[in-house]
Amino acid sequence: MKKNLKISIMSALMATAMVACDPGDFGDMNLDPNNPSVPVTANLLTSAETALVGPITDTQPTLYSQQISEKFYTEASRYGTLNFSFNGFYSGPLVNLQEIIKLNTDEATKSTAAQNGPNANQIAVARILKAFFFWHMTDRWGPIPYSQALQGRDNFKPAYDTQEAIYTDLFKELKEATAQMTSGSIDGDLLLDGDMDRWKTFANSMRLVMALRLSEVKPDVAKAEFVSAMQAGVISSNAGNVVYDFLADENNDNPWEDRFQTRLDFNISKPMADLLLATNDPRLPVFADPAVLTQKYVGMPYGLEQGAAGAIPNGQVSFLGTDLRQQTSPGYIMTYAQMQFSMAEAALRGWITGSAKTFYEEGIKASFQQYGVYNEAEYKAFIAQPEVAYTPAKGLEQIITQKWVSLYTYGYEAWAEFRRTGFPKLTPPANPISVSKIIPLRQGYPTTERDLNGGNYDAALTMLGGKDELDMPVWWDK
Amino acid sequence: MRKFLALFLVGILSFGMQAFAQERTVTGKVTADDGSSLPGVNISVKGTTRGTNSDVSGNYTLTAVPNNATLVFSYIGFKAQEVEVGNRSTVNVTLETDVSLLNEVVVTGLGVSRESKAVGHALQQIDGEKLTFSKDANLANSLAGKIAGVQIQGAPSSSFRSGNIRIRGVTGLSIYANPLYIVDGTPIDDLNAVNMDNVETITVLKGASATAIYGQRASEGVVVITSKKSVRGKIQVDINSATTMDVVSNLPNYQNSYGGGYDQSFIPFEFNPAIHPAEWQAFQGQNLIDYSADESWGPKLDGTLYRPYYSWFPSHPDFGKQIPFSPQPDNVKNYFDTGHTYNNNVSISGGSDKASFRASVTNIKRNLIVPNTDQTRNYINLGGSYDISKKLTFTTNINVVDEKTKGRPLEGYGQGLTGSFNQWFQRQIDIDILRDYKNPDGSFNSWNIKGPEDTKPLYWDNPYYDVYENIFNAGQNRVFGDIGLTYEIMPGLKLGGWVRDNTLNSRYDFRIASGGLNPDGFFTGTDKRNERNYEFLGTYNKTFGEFNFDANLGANIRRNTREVQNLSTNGGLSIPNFYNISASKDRPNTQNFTSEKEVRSVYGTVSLGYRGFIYVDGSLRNDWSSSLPVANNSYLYPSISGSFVFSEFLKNQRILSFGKLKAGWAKVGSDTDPYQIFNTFSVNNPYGSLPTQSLPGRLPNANLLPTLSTSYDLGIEVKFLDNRIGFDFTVYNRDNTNQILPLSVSAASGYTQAMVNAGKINNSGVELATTFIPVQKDDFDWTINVNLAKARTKVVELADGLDNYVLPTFAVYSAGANLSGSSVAFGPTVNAKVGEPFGELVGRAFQRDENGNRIVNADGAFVFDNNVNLGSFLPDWSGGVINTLNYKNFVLNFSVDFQKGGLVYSVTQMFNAYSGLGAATVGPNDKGIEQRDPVADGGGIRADGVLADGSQNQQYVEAIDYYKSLFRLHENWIYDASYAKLRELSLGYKFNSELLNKVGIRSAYVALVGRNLWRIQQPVKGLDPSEIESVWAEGGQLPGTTTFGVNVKLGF
Repeated sequence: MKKNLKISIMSALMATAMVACDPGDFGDMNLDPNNPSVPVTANLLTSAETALVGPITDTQPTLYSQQISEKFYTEASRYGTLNFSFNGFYSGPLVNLQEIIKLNTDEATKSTAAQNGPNANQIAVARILKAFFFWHMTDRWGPIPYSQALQGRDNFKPAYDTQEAIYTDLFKELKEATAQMTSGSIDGDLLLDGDMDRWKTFANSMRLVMALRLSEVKPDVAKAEFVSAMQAGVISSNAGNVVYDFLADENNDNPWEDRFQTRLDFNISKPMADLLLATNDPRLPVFADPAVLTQKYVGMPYGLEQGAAGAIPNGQVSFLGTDLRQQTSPGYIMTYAQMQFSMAEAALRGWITGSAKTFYEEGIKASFQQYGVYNEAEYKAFIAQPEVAYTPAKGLEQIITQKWVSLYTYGYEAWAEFRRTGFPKLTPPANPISVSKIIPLRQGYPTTERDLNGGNYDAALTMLGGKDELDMPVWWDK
Repeated sequence: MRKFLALFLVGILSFGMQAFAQERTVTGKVTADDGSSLPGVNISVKGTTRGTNSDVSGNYTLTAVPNNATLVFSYIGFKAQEVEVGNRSTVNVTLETDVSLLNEVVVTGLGVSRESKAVGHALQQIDGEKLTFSKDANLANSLAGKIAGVQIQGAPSSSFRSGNIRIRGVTGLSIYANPLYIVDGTPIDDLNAVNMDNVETITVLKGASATAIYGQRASEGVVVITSKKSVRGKIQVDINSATTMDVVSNLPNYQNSYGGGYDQSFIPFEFNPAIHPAEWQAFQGQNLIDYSADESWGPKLDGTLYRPYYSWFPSHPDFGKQIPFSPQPDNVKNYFDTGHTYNNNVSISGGSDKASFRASVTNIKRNLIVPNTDQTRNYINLGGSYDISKKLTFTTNINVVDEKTKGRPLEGYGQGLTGSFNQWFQRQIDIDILRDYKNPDGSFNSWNIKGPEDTKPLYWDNPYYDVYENIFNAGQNRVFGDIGLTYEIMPGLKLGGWVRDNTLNSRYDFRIASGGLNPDGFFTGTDKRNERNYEFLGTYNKTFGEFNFDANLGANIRRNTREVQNLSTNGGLSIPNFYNISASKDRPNTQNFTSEKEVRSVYGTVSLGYRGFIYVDGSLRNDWSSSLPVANNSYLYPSISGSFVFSEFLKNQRILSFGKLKAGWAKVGSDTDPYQIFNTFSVNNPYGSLPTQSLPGRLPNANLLPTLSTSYDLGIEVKFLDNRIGFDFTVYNRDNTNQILPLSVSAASGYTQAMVNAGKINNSGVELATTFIPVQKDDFDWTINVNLAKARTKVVELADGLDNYVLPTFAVYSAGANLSGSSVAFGPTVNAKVGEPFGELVGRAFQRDENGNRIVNADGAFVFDNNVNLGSFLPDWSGGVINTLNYKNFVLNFSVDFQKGGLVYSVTQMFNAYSGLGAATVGPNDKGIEQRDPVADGGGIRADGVLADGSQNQQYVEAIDYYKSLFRLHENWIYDASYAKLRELSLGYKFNSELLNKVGIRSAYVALVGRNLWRIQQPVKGLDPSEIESVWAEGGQLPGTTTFGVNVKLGF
């Protein structure tokens, strides 16, 4: 009994001991050993810049602009998708760029952040990149969360801003960003290697293209911003092109290479091929491969129904050019040719002095050089052809058409210019899947916004004109 | 709080110390009516919750039996008997055989056996015999339809994956929550760790009052698995050997009228000297098909001579030859082999008066119907006990499980095998020719060549290459079990301590062979998991006067650790056919993580019984979890339950044999995964030499609170006519509030998810378990068990201002970007919408007019609406029927399970139509003309609907365009998931024991067994909702199988 008593007392003590010593104290057990709690601003910047890949290589807008055609699976060509997600921009590059600004601003962290370059320059680059992404997004969706976005737990339901308000603020952001730059390069910049002069040029060039976007809705603002950007200095040669360098590394290679790795889905479109054939364009062998069976360049008709598309054998049409789908094929974000075509239009509109024809021809030349097919005699012959030779009466159509060619595979820009000007003249497919059946004027919001941010989503639809459809024009599309 | 617990503890202990007089020790022997001794008989003191078992010789000892007590002797297969002890100290009993198999004693929480009538919890028990008669090695499948409210989340019978089980439907905001599995007291995380040959009984604890004592992990119910126990006395050896064969049995219906291509005309070969060898001139004008097509909208299979794909392989013996374009109706079926399973088990048990043990070894060897697959699994189980002294007993259970697997049949959308056969294929392909998948030069061939000029595959590798070259290997070793010491301080008061451990080490590797369509690669990884539990339990029971009192006091420390590494090559292999991470062309992808979590708990239970007809139980538990913020990491929750045996007051009648009312109420608290509190930055793939970091998409939360759910159940158990008809009916209701979940938020906030406490999910339902004994004669008896359950889960509220939560879905598996198969490809989303049933599928639906007619546009195509509610995937009813018939020496068992309602999304069916493979894509249209004929010739299909003006659509569209227009039109590919299937059947013969005994054999039994013999009802052929690829969808369903075999049991 004595022994029993001992054991029961011991057991009781054991149990009470558990209660007595603090059972809620687990030390550092819940600190995540797998992820760092401290960021390096250079690493955040690299990560944010890798998100530029989508905007410059997506297939959907390149189908809207009919630069390419789908060989057989023509659902995207026929506008089968309504909702596109912008979520990855906010939770990806934008929130990380904002974190760079915060880390370079807060007193507690700015000196650590400065190890990656002057605080002001890191902030300036983050602002320029943020502006690029927001610009890209508002051109696709129209009104988007902007002024209330990226506030984390402080605002899980940010309101939408009008496209006008966003453009206004982005002009301001770009100007302030270039104004705040100081000397000294920054780290982690895969795009422009931390070179602040190039960032300044990139910001001005971006502002120039953005300004032109407002030509129909706010010509005064457009002109003023255009002229101011041009004076501040834009890309002045192909050497100054803003290019995303893809690497010979599966994780960082050109998505076009992956698309053709095990499939044959994308052809040069018939409208594009026919134009290039008609004008003996030396870019054609870069843009397309000859058809296997005929060894000729043949564009794929755009947006056929699958039965009809499938009846055309693969060997009878030209697929996207091999040069454009290597692992390291460059991704153009902003080019000298684009500047020249923009200036040609500005000159045509009388915003700037100079000859529209000269800018136009320089744009063509720049594009030939960009694709490595420039040869003076050929170029001279090319611009002398009646279809190409600049004629003021159809100047806008010619400028935009050549711009459309020069922007081959950069669909978002080509599609935006088509929406703004209506050029080149494109015909929607015979049997579109979308309700409106016209070439889309915007993309639908992600369904998560309807579910998670309903009130603000509804308000955004009101700004758009009532419905979340592909045929609702954005503000600048008059 | 602490003070309260201390008081609680002292209270229980001091209560126990009080008077214990008027008691004695009773011993005796239990024999069967044939004179043999009966081991393992349950002997309980009536009106108490105490009991013991007879040993191998049928002897028993029961201490502290009150004067004038009544002992209840019960044993499966025998009629229970009540014996008044009077003042005897020896009570010998002979039990009579009974086929009504009513479990009188059930296992409740903490492994305690209690007399069934004393239990107020919602639980249901089934014994091993009824689980394993058809020798399914998977526990989940074995349980299908056998417990009311337990549903199988199946897996294809042609895969190595095993099903999971869901108890009482969905209870929280997760489709994938698992119940807690406990084997002899040790928690495990994988049903495959259970050796089915070792299972004595399975008890499913459904109500929260039954599970509350297991704490937070029991929130989805508990499956308590009790192993066969060692018996003291003589040595017994049992051998069980089963051999079964699987054959493919549930493929979709295919069409056999049209072959590969997108167009019905053959393509004449046009010789072009610029690209073709000169000798090909002879082929001028021969019929070609579009070899690069992976659909079957091609020419009619009418025997026209054409050039098959392999006739373009210069090394092929049939190069340059033409063959007739003819059907191959069994090509897919013939791809599959016969599967085999060899399941052998030997067990030995025995012991002395001080010690006992039971050891068993099982070897299961299996190959699937998919070629080049095999799996070997070994179980070694040892359980034993040793009385160190009269009062101190040592017990242990040690289980070793090892498994080696080769092959993993591809599942999910667009994967090889069925992802091709049922989705992207040419119907006329001759499977026997594909078997030679290697060319003489070592390269691989496929049916899906780019063309005569380039015979490399376009979209698809040869399906034999997939299984013979892209080899998956996996292995795992698991050791789990416990050692424990129990000390009896005084009669009725015991203290015990256990250390329980469950360690799993697993590894895998997978290769994409060099020379196939995809870049070659190698993937490998390891996963080490451990759970350690330190457990203390004090138990006390005592009868005084007309009251019976039981109390338990326990403490537990649980620590879970995990260490994972995954490595894969990137960008191909630098040395072809060298499968090692060092061969990675680009920087390899690597991932490793470790995690650790600890939960500390104190708990107690008290039970009080009065005069054998009224019982009340209560429990209280407090947990501290390392995964919660320090300020909120302690949480307390109670439960209470009771039962009232009203038949005790209705003794003088013959109709009602037993009647009981039961009720339970409980709260259960729970925590979350580790590392959800503090902000971190994830490290991603570098760009060249530049590292990358980013904020996580999920915003952590430093203010998380524990989750609480509250539930109650009410039940009634009645038995009539000498127990020949029995009903056990339960209703339940549960509110799950403040769940910790990664709530989706507007990504414009910068995060796609935020950790929050949110939501109120209501889960309610009814369960009915019935037993009928239509025949009960000396040489013939028949028992029918019917289980039925209805569960409803409703979303009452989510977070503030949020009325929909899109539930996350998952890939079936993933290894490399090119090789992850989604089961919900192009699918609807699954949602929790406020005010709606849980699991609402939302997707595209036909637009309809006010009369419900489908609307057709001017082009003759259906008009659809996006984002329409299509209904919940959860079934309305589920259940099963088990029949057991004994006629003389013959035993017939069979079980049927079924569900009514619910939805399933089929990607296979969608592409069967899209690619022109399915039988529905051929045959006459509503004008009686072949639908694939051109519209101009009267063919085509008319979309059955009305135009905008309300008139019937009269326009016909080409068949190919019609079926393609249904792509992603979810409503058309979502099916009613009702099904019924004859899952198991066995017909056995028991040899007479007198004869056998002469040759030294104790028992012998032989049976023919079968599984999945008859899919009585399924939504559409090839789609069995009880073995669906994932919970509510399939992206490339593997076929079902039917299994036949022989089972032999011998006892010595």
